[in-house]
Amino acid sequence: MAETEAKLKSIRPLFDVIVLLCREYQSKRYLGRIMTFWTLLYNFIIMLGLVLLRKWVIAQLSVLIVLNMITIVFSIPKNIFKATATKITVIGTEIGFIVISVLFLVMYFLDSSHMYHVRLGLSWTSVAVNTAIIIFHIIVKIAEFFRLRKEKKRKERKNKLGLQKRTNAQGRIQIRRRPQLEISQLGRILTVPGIDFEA
Amino acid sequence: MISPSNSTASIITDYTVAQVAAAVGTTSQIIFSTTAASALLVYLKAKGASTQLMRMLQIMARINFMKLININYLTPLAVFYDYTDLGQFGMPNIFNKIPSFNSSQASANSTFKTGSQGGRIIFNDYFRYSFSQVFLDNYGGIVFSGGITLILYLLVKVACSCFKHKNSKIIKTLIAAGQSFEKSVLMTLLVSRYSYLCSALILNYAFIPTIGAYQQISSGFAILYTIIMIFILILAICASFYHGRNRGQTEIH
Repeated sequence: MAETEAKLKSIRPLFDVIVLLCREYQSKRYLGRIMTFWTLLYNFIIMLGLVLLRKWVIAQLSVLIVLNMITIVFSIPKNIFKATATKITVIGTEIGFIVISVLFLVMYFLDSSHMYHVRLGLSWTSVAVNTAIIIFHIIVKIAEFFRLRKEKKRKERKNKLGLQKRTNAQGRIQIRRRPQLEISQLGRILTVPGIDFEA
Repeated sequence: MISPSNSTASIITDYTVAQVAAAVGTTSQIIFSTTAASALLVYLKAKGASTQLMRMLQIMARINFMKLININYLTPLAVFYDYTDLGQFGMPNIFNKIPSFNSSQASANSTFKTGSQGGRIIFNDYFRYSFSQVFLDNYGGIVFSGGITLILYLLVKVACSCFKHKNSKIIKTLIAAGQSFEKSVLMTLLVSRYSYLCSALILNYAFIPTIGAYQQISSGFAILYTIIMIFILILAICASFYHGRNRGQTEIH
């Protein structure tokens, strides 16, 4: 591991190119680090499946469902994503695509039948799911924004309260110390032979 | 591998359904455009250090690429796809506008059985969704916008070297813009249209269109983009073997 790291140090400046892709994932865990590569590979396999398996619709949709499931499995463990919101959106998106794939499968099987209204309903459902994926992203982002703002405010309030407590405590210590100081100073200043002021 | 299956596929078109579908399509288009625009704003505000834009555009592309599946998904979904396809952001493919360049010719020596029409491969027989065999036809707009961004970056670099006072506000802005390009703009552009890149490369290598200057130049660009893609994939693999603690230092500031 150390040797690999030493070798990779020479190409470290090149990592700047993909730093944006790695931003969302935790670099402490191996699974978090591999997610950048997986995302690129996964999208490539999707395209490969869509373009090359054109004749076999069931195979195409099966590949898509399996890939979506693998991504969900990769996303479930802790410390993969830096933000929980990202994790939620990734899992939500993949579930959305699984639903679309399943709807497509049903539509494909119903193609030869004359159940036009059922297919029409499935088509509308697909439109709704597609739109829901995007709306889900927006909702999660908005929720995350408000959560962060709330957290920031709470931290600020906590810091303020802590600072206030510290100031109060310091003030009380100073008040307690001051008479003693004054008496001791007085004792030192007013040292009259025969009279003990501190006593 | 790629062949037309059902050329006589029947599509029942209901006028009311078509009207409602158009209305829903327009609404979806507004949602998609607004989302993309807000993601762009966030991206600009974060000075390129946001992945939101890239992620959103990638998902929108994925949604749209589902239309390539060869099933009759009826008018509502077809209209939805027509309205929400961002394509190449409307960027023109200037390469096929150059005189004497003969664009989109079918590959004569293709080993694939294709459902092609004038060099285009039809993926959905019901709604005639197709892609070209030529790389630049599918990705030319992005190549063009990438080229413009690259030229701007080079201009910024030249401008940076021309300034004498390194502490001036202008030069600081220019340096920030240059760094943003290196760490963010290029990758955002590439990844947000990653699906288009993959499909264009796969189709290019599946058919290898080499007849005509345009096709040859297109293949040249395809090779260049393949190298870039492989380079990024190798970097991503290397990054997964690189220790987290060290990699944390390579952050965008």
